[in-house]
Amino acid sequence: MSFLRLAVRNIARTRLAAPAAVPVPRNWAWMQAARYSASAGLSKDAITARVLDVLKGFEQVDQAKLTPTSTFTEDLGLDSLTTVEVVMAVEEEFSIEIPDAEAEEIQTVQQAIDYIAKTPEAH
Amino acid sequence: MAATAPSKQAILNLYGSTLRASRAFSSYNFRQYFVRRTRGVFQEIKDEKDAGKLRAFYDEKTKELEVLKRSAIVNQLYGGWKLVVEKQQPSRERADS
Repeated sequence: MSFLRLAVRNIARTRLAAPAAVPVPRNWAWMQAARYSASAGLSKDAITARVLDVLKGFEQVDQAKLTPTSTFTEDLGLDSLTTVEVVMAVEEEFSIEIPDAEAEEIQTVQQAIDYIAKTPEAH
Repeated sequence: MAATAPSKQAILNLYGSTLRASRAFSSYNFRQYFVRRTRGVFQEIKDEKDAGKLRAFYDEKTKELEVLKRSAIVNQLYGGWKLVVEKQQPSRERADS
């Protein structure tokens, strides 16, 4: 009698142990690679306003000529050392680090805004 | 032997790195001092044309930058509370109090 019970139990167990077929989604590889935390991103207007705010903090800046299109050295009357400082201040505002090679390129307010816009880490 | 002057861009890069190292200090007094000092020292040399002097300045400041970086790290390890004059972290309050 107990032998019969054991046999029945074994049969039931093997049936349960059989792997349940899990349907593998077709886009499995994509799902593994996908990041679900998309960055909100900064709007162009927000970046412009914040960059201009940073520049307003510099006393050497000619406030009357301060527009998004102005250049640091010609329009705003900054020397090369202060330009470096402006770029550093922008870095600090957006908590990023701009490499030296790219920091050299930034000579206008617009270039600074564009650089922030294309940097995903900026926030 | 005539010393070659470092390029303008090299000096500007050194200026940027030194400022960045100065800002890394965690205590307010050191931070402000080194930022101020860096500004002053580089403003003084701004109109210098003599290649020998520029080279000497550049070499000296490059060495100083290394010292400054190390000091900033040590200072970060032993950073104290923020002073009242500094920008404080926004204070958070419990919702149920």
